[in-house]
Amino acid sequence: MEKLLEIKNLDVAFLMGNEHVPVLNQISFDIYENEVLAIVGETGCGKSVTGSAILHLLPENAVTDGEIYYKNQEILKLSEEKFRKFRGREIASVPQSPSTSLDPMMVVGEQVAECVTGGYRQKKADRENIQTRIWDIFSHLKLPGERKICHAYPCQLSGGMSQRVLISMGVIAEPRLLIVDEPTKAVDWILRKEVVNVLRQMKDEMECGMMLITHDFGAASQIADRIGVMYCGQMVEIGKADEILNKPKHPYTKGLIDALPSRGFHVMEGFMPSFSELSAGCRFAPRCSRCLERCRRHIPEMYEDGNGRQVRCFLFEESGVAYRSPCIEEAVFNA
Amino acid sequence: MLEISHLSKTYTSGFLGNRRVDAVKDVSFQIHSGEIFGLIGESGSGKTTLTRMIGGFLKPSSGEITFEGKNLVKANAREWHQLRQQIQFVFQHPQLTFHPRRNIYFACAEPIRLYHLDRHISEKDMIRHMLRRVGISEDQWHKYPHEISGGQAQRIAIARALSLNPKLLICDEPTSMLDVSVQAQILRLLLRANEKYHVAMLFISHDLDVIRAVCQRVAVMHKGEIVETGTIEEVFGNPKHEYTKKLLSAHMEV
Amino acid sequence: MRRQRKKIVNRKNYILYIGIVLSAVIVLVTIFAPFLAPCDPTKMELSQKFIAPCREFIFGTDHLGRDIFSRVIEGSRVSLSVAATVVFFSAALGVSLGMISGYMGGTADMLIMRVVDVLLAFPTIIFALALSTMMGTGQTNLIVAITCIQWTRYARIARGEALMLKHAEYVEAARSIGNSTVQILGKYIFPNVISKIIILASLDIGTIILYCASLSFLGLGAQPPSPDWGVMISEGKDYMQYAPWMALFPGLAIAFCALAFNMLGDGLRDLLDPRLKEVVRTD
Repeated sequence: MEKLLEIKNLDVAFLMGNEHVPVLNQISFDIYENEVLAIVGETGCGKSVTGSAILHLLPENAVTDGEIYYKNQEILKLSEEKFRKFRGREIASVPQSPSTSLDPMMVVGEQVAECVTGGYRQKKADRENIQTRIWDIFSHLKLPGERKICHAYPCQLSGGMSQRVLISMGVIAEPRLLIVDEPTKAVDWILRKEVVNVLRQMKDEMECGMMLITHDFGAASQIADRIGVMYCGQMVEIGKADEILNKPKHPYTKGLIDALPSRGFHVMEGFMPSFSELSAGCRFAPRCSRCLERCRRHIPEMYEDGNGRQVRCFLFEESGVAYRSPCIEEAVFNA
Repeated sequence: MLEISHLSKTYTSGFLGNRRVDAVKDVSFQIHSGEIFGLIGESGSGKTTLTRMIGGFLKPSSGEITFEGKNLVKANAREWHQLRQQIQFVFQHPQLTFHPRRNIYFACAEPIRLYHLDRHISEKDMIRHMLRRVGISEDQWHKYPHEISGGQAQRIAIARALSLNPKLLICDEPTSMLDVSVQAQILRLLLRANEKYHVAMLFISHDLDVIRAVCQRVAVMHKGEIVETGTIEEVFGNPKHEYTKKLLSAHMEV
Repeated sequence: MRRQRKKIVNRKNYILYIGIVLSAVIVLVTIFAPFLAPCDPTKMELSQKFIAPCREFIFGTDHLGRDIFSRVIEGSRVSLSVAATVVFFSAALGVSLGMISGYMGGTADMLIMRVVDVLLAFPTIIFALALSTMMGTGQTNLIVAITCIQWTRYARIARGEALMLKHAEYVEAARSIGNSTVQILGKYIFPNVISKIIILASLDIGTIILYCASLSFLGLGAQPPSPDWGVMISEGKDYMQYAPWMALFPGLAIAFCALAFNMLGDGLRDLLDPRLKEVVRTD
């Protein structure tokens, strides 16, 4: 399979006053064509920042370093002007919280159409063309009464319907890569199932890669081909979905999965440290039950086992080889 | 211990109040002392209206709420002051539970000051003791709600609620805003409180996995009505109502 | 390592700084008015009437030979004390009624808000005119008249805030741990209301100075010998043709005060309103 997106050693830091707070550290992963990669992690681990970095949507005080290749073209350092032709057309996003992401004063049909037209007036023929495409997508996503719904305002839609409208806004321009941010956050049980079904259907029908940012293992297990687990701004483990879920290697992944109510509810002690108070060694070391002496002093590298499974933990050093160039020490990054 | 019978709440709106919405419709159930009672329902099913009526924040349109033989619907302000000590709440959004301009110490000192609990030991010692129980160290005392994580805030909220030695704890989606690992910590904390102090709980959640792991008996709420009540085994093993079946079929195996 | 640094936009709140300086100047002038005024503001010297601004009388003299500069300075005391009194009483009344109305709801809310609606239907000046004619002229009546209208604005803001906070989770949490209604209003609602009220109050001082100048101009406020800006303009209008300075300088003083307090209010709003603050997202 072709690589669609390739992220190499991505660092992101935020300037807060005079302080330089590192958030993402050495993030590297690939997304292949037609593949769904789920990025799983807890609140504040930097998974949404990763999505924003790809889409050039970071706030003004962000400092980035590293490379992001989209179809072998560097996009991280592209100017806003040049990047605009990627955003929406090639790489699209589905934002979180459907209730606040739609303009309450505009009918949804128009909002979806705007994603193609960019707000410019179109010729009549083009307008009709777009209209039929919207109906097409709406009926695909099983939006009831797809023709009428174009003229509905967001407040007239249920949560599931607005989530689907957001998804159609993401796919209308037929992007190659779709970044879906927390689609199942704060939605209830039945709606969650619906959203997952829609995403699964899209994966089967639309030929695009998908990056699913979520903290919901249940949803990830249903949709994702591969799962990457993030902790404290670092990727700690990445591999095939069922391998991660059933044979987690990294102690953090293991702890996270064991904490699921359906997996025994085992409590993992401690909290994720904030980005301004990181320890010197492995970021998970203070909470790790299998912590070694060297874990406290050195940051482990990503070790790969040959099958595309990568783990950032010294316990798996022998079973794999260092994946990429040695990790730059924290001290250098902070300097 | 808590008995709710035929409780309803109807909101009227429109000109002359001709549009009626039944938020809660003829709800009845009991919670026995020391038990954890689960309430399942999606957003908008009237769970929050129900808890607000039990907490006395909202007057029911009809029906009775009886707590240890006392009728809560008819209780006056002074009786409520005593009752509040026995019925405590844990809310959904941990960081929003506290006064945004006051620090953690103030938040924890409030129940002590309001109920004059510092007769035998000093306020400081009490707070130290109650926060240590939930694993919050002294250096967090002077932080503000927005400076602590959701998990920490929820622990503090639970510690504060337990400091009044309540007999009933109403947990309104206590973990829906939290991450998986923090969720497990919070639920362990609640289960320990239940074991150690025999606090009964009304545990509201839409997450069936959590309900199954925590509760003994459960009620399913749909559009303001309770459609099914029973023990965990009964409801999960042999669902009778259509809605419960639909809910269970939405389960995603990890 | 190549690092991309973007300039952080740091909006300085210049309006606030200018507002603070100008308002401070006005307050200082008011406090030290007797020491700053070169002459007795009420001393008449008929031989020196209608002197154009010169070195000795920098704002000139009026038709009775009084020094206009001294009168403008002395006049700030009258204007500012009236404005401050009005703002204090209307804020106190408005905030307490507004908070009760918003938090309690029901009949109390209905009654208070209908009164507010009725009062808001009158233009302030017309209402104050009617009240002054009924109660007679004079400074106290002027204060009462303007307060009667002005408190409604505070009541509306306090009510809105109380309504919004009433169902906030932390207010309900505070109730659940045993706070009484009075404690909730004092400890939880009031601190949130007050920041909005301070903004409104500083904007209001400018407006009220204008109101009371207008009413004095119409002869309903301070009475002639006292050096009030409105009265001075009123006297000056008859001599507009050959002594324009008589009306000009008190007019400038009014404009200056209104500007200063409006800038202070605008600046405070930018400072205190959290919606205008830049939010830095980290996740």
